[in-house]
Amino acid sequence: MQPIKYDIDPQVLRTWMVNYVCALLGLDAATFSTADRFDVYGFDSVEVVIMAGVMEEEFQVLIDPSQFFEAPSVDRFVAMFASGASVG
Amino acid sequence: MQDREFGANGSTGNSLSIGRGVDVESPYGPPPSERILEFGNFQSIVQLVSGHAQRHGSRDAIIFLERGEFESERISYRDLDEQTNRIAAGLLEAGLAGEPILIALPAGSAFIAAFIGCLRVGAVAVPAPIPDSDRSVSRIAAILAEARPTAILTDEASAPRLAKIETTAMVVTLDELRASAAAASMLAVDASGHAFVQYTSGSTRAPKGVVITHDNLIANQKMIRTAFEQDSGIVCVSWLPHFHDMGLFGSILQPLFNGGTAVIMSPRAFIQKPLRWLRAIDKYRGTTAGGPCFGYELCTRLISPGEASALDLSSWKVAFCGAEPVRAAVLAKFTERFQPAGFRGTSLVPCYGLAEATLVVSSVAPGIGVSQKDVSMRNSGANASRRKFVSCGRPVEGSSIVLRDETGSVQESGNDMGEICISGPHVSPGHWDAKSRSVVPFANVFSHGGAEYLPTGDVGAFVDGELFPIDRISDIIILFGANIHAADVEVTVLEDPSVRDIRTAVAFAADDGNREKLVVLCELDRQAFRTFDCAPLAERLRKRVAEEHGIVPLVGFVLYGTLPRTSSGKIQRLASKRKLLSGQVPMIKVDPETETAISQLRLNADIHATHQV
Repeated sequence: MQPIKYDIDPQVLRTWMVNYVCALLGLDAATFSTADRFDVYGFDSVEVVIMAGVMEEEFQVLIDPSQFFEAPSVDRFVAMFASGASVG
Repeated sequence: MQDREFGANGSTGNSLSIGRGVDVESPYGPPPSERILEFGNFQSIVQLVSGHAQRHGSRDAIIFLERGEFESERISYRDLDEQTNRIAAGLLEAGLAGEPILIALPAGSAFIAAFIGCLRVGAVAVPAPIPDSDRSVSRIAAILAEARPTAILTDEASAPRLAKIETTAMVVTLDELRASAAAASMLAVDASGHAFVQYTSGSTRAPKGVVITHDNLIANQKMIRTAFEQDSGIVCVSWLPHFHDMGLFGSILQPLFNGGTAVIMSPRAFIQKPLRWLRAIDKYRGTTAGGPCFGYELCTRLISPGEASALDLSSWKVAFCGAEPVRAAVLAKFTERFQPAGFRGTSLVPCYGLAEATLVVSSVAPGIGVSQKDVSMRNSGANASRRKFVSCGRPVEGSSIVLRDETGSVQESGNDMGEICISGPHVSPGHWDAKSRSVVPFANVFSHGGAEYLPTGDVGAFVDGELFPIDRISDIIILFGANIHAADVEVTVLEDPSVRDIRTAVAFAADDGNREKLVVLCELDRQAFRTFDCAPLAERLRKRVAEEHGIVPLVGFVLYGTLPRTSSGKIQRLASKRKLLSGQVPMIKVDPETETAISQLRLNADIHATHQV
């Protein structure tokens, strides 16, 4: 599948991901480290795939959950998404 | 209840010897229009699928939903038979007939054609995960090292990832096999011969493959057909992993066995949006669909009442539920949410099974639903209590179950729980031995009443002829429908280079009322226990276990020697779990979040213990 570049502001995506993860796990968004791997703060692989589904609805995009395993942190995912690599 | 040995329908002592002797029914029976197909003198699933292709070739066999939404494949029985023949011909030409072959292919008709193609040429199929992540590649590497297949059958896209693995097995792609001009001939299949090897455990250290014969496969397919009251009208909609027993045998081969249709999506497509699964049941008028309790829980959590009421689930007759402890509360919430969509609670079919029995061991009949009973927890003179458990029904037809106490004796009285031991033509003859390319019989099989029984490692009780699975004494932790070896988790913890203070560790699963949690208890020396920093060490271990196994555990620390041990000094997992849940582990150190989570586990255990006797 051809990479698709979506017109989503990386900062909006980053904020959304941080809020989603923090709300689910009861973490403080102000002190949340976006460089940490998802599993460091207790976000396991099932939850990562679920987030991919919620994100599709929120941003009206197609996301292959395997992208999260290739880029397993908020920072890395946002960077990958912004570059349009292997989306869909 | 006096008699502790139950056969199907409550009859006693009707077990068959292991791995042999499937009775076959009369040859070609009534036309498909009469729904119930009679089975000829079939010795394998291969002949059955070919028979369907001849009799009703245009009927849909497999529908694959890309992303769980878009119909990317619709394959008729004729197409499936043709695909199977081409792959079988390619295998013959490549000299792979009769050889062990690992299949690493994505879900879809190609995987199914490859699986049946292997069976067709007498090859021993070894279904494996798709090589789509580092974790699955390392699992495949472990299976390759243990099974030592002659070839790996994969597709063009996956072949480069598999090239990273050091192996003597040749890599063969589907395209190469399909290019063969040879015609496949139907080889005579030895019914007691090995059809495939199941590596369902997640063990990355020393996975053990369970050998399933053609006999086992046909016997269990017949058992499932009878237990679930299936016929050729079956439309099974599945999100389960296609290389695992419940996905492959319960949700793909069962519809093919009956001449019905399998509608398939990937597990990730389902987990990403569980609504996709229910929409597919609605769209394709699914009659049968199921999985572990976790799947039902996910549907209730992520599908809103509004989305639910827009569905029509009235065609869903068999909603099977197994592989993890069946939780009544989860299924009750599911029923409540989807009742407006026409879902009936009586469609829920709790069942119990394991890879060593091909798949299903016992099942509730469709139309009954979830029933709970107080079960006596008395065992070998220990204090008794009564707790509520969910019935997993009666042993499947033609099989029997007995319970064995801790001393190894089959229990004759009706009041005790014990280890579930199974007998019947669906029970595997043993583990795969790569060296001899043969079976090593299970070491712990024992004779009782003229039949051979295999202990399962699970604890259960019988009430009025129905099996109530209670707990596991085996080393396998089942979380999110995937099997994880406790020993693997313990090794992950102990091998972490930054963890020098931990002497021993024990891992087990415990239920918090909503789902199973993975718990790891670590023992530290007295000196280290006084001075160590709990939170960072727990965080480090959570990260390591999550990286290796995909699950974030609860981690606690205790003083060396605190956990219960066997006479040989090995920590007892089940006893450790019971000690933790009853609050009897002294001086446990945990971080505050873990403390809350462990309290929830204890609370759930207390709720279940309705009263002490």
